[in-house]
Amino acid sequence: MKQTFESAMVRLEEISEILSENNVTLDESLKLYAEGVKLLKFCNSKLEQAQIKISDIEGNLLEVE
Amino acid sequence: MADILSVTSLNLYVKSKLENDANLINIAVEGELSNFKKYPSGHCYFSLKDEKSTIKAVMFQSYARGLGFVPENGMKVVVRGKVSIYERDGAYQLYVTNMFLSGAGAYQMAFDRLKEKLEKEGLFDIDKKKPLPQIPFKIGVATSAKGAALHDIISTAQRRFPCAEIVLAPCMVQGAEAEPTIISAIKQLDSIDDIEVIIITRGGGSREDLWVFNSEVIARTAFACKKPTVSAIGHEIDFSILDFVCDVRAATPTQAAEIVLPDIYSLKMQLASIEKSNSRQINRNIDLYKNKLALIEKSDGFSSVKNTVNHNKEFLSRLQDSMKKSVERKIEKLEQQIYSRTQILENQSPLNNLKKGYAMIYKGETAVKEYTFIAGETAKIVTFSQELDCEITKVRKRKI
Repeated sequence: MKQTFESAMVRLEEISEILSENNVTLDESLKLYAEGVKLLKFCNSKLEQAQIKISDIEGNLLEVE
Repeated sequence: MADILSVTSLNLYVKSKLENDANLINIAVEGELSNFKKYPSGHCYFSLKDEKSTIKAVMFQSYARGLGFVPENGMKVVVRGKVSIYERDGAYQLYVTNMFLSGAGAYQMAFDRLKEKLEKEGLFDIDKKKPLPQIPFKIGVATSAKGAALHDIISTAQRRFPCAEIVLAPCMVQGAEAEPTIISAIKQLDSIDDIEVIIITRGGGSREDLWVFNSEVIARTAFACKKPTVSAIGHEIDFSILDFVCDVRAATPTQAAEIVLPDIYSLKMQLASIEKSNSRQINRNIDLYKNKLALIEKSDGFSSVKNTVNHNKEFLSRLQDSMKKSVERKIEKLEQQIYSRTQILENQSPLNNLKKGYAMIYKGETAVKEYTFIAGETAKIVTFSQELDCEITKVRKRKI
């Protein structure tokens, strides 16, 4: 399934919650942490674009002031 | 006037009279619609009447397509246009260029009738409303390419969530001829796969300007959308049929963009806080295990093993020491033995006897022990400090 921003956020919140529980093994928590780092990178990269894109229905970018 | 006129000439004459009358060139007439008929050509023919009288009227296609509503018999309207004559029939009539519903009541009646109908059919049902996507990266907008609404949406998106893409399906937003363009725009946006939500919008205007958004066909098109829809028609106070059908109604185009798009700063803050909390938790977990390890190290079981190991270490090192010492003692002893042997050997050396005053006799190069010399022979006598070459002059036998 394609990773979406929303599904990444949901998983991140899950990881955050599991990490804060006391009964996680060190091994497991390190794995979760690594997964979290990957997801954070994905989410942050999706938010990088600084200029709104406008396109027509054929997908051609439009110049709109 | 003695001339005999043809019918055509008469009609043409009256026509020119009517068309040159300043009072009849641009008039507004109020009346009730009757016998309304729209032909496939687009031309509309109807009558206007009041309690006592009636007049025929025509609205040609080029004017009729700009109508803001669908005329129905019984509607009270105000028309604008001129009075002229249709020569063939000799019938004078109104040539209508504009038609408005007269009075708020007429509009309200049409609006209420459609609203009630669609509501009964379930087009407004709450449980048919689709939820909006939380974080859409591609949104469709059906509006005029030149309108203020598009401008408002773009500037709101730029401020709020600049990583999104807006797909514009341009359409007209005013008059009856806008209807098919709006329908086509909505359908096109709904057919593009990765568009997550559709905004249908136009900026503020008069009731007549916004009237097209009360179209039944537009309402049904929006209702049939697979994607969630948001309407934003005019201002806060303006409600259209479309507003009831769409999944969410926004008061203005700006508000529509605010409802649809998340705020990038709060998203970034949310991500940063998750990042911080994850780091804190992982460090806490590592510390927890470090502490556990330290506790185990200090525990009785572990320290007794450690003590045993330490005892053994000590024992070993003592053993090593004593072995080393005993070997050293042995070596010392051997060295002493060697020394004393050397002394003995040294004492037994012939050189030692020479020191005491003894001498050695050599015959040639060989020291001799028992040799019978005869007179006249030569020999060498070696003392501690000298070598003497001798000639034997006399030999006597010694009594032992």
